[in-house]
Amino acid sequence: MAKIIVDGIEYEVNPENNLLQESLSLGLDLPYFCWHPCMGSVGACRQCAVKQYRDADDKDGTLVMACMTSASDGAIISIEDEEARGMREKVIESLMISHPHDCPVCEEGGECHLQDMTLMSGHNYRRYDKKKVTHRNQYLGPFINHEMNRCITCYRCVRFYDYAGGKDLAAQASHHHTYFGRHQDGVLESEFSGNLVEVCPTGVFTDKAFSAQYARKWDLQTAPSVCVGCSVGCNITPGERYGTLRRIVNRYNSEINGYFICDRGRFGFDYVNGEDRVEAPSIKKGLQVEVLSGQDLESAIKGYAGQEVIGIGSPRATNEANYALCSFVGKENFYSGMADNESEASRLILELSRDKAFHSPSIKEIERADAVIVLGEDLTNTAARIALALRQSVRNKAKELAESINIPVWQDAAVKELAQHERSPLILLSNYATRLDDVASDSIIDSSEVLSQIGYAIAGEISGSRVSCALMKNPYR
Amino acid sequence: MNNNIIATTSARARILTDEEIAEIDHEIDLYPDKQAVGLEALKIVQKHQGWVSDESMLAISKYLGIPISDLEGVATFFNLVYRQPVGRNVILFCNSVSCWIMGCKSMRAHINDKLGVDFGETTDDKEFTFLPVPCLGDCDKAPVMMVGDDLHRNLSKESINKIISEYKTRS
Ligand code: SF4
Ligand code: FES
Ligand code: FES
Repeated sequence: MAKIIVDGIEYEVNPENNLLQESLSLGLDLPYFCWHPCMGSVGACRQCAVKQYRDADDKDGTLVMACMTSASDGAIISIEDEEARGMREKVIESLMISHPHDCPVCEEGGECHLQDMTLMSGHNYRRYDKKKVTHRNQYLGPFINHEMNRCITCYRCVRFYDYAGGKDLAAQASHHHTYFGRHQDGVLESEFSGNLVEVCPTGVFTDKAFSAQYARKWDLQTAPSVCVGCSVGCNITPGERYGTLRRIVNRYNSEINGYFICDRGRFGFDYVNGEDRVEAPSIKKGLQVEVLSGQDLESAIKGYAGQEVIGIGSPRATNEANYALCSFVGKENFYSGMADNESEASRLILELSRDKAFHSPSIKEIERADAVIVLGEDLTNTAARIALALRQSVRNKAKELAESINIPVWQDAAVKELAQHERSPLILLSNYATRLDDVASDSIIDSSEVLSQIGYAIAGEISGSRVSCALMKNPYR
Repeated sequence: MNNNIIATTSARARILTDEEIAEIDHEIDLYPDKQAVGLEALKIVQKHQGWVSDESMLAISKYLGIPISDLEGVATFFNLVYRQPVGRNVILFCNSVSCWIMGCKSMRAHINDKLGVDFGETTDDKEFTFLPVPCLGDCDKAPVMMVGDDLHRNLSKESINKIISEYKTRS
C-alpha cells in the first residue's frame, strides 16, 4: 500500500497501479478514453490530465497523464486544478472537432462514454464552425456497423483487436484523417469482434442486428444471465423489448469472462425469437399438433399413469425440464438425448469436477498461467472465451521481463516493445490446425491415439509415476 | 453500400520481380525482424513500379508476413507512399509558412493554369502529378518545389515554365 494526496486529501492506493486506475477506484471523477482495465495504458487520448506536484512546496506542478503515471508513495496530485480541468476540456473539444453530433440517431446514445466524458469535462459549447473531416465507412459484416465520423482516435478498437489476436483491423493514415478499419470492406475475421461495440467509447462500432430493431438502453428490460453458447458460462445481460430478445452484452465477472465475451454468445441468440420455437407443451395426435395448457398437460400425464412411457430428454433443454421428465417416466425409461460416449464423457467430467484433487482453473487463473498445455481440444470452437484467455497467458513472459526492469505491467506499449516476440509456453496438441497456432510455442498435430499417449506421458512426468492407461478411463477408446 | 460482400480480399498478390526481392532481402538482413521492413519494401516497390497497387500491397504483406491491414496502416501513414498511380514526374510543392510568405500561392495558381491540375491531381498525359508538401527544409530559398529528385529554388513564373518544359522533354 502507498499513500497519495489528491486535492489535499490523503488516500491509500496500490502503488503497482497508475494514478487513473487508482483515482477511479477511489470513486473520483476523472475523464478518460484510451485506458482500459484489461489493456492498460498508452496515453493516446490525453484526456486524463492531472496536475502533479514534486513536493508540498511545489506550487506550480506539472501536467501529467494520470494513466501514464504510477500511483507511487507520496505522489501529490490535483484533479480539480484549473489548468488540468482546462486541458481536459480543450482535449475533448479537439477530439470532437469532426464529430457529427448525431447523438439523436446514434445507437450508442444513452450509454456513450463520449457523452458522459464530454459532460464531465464541462465542454458544453462547441466553437468550431469550419469544415469537418468525413470518412467513408466500411462494410464489416452482418454484425458490426461502422460509422467512422464518430471516432475520437483513442485507439481502443485496434488495441482490443490485437488483444484478441485479430489481424484484419488496424489504424490507417495519420493526423486528422486517422482511420480505424480493414484494408478494404469485408467481414471482420475475429471471433471476438463484437466486443468492439463495447470497447469503443463512441458509436463507431455498433451492434448491427440490434440497430435493425433498435431500442434505447433504458427501454430494454434486462436481467443478469449466463450465456448458453458453451460450457464456459460467461456472464451476460440480455435485453428484451415487446416480447423479443433484442441484444446481449457482456456482464462483468472477474473470475470468468471479465470484460469480454465471444461473438457466438453476443450474436448467436436469434433462435430465441424463432417463429417455430416450441414455447408450450403440445401433444401430437396423428398429424395434428395440439398445444396444451398447464392443466391439460397434467391430465394428459395422468392419463398415462401405469402405462409404459419412454421419456426422451435433451442436452439442449434445462436441467429442470430433463429432471421433471425423468421423474415422470422413471429413471429406467428415461433417455438423456446424449449418445453413450458423450454421456460417459460428461459423467467423467462431472466426477472429476467433484474430485477435490482435480483443480479446474478459472479463466482468471488461466490468464495468469506460466505455461499451458491444451490436450486435444479446439478451444476457439468449443470454449472461445478460454482461447482468448490463452492469448493473454502467453503474454506473461512479457510481463515478467517488464517487472524485472521495473516497467509497470500497465505500460502496455512499453511492455510489448520490450518483449517483441517473447512468449510464455503454450503447447497445443490437436487433430488439426487451430486458431491459436499463431501464439503457440508448439503445435503438435496428430491422431487422437498419439495425443492421448502424449497426455499420459505428461501426466506421468508430473506425478512422478508412470500412469497406466487402464487407470484412466477413456470414453473414446 | 453493398451489403453482400463476403470475401475479405478481392485483389490478388502480384509476383514481386527478382530485383524487388533482392532489394527487399537486403533490407531484411539489416533488421532484427522481417516485419520491420514494411516501409522499406513499400519504397522499393514504388521505386520500381512508380506506385504501390493493391496487388503489390498483398505481395509485400505475403513476403514479409505482415498482416495486410497493418501494412496498409504504414502505406497510408506516409504521404509519399503512393497508393494510386502518379504521373511520370511528381511535383512536390511546398505550401508551408516561409514559402507562403514568399508568394507560393500565386506559383501554385500558375502551375494550376499551366498544367490544368491542382493538388492531388495528375495531368491527362500522365506527365505530372501535383502534390503539396509541408516544408522542404529550404526555407531561405523560398518558394521551393521538388520535381522527381531535384529541388528547385526561388521559384518564379518564368523558372516554373522552364522547369516544366525541361521535364516534359526528358524521357
Ligand atoms: S473507432 Fe472508437 S475505439 Fe477506435 S479509435 Fe475511434 S473512438 Fe476509439
Ligand atoms: S486515458 Fe490517459 S491518455 Fe487516454
Ligand atoms: S516553408 Fe517551404 S521550404 Fe520551408
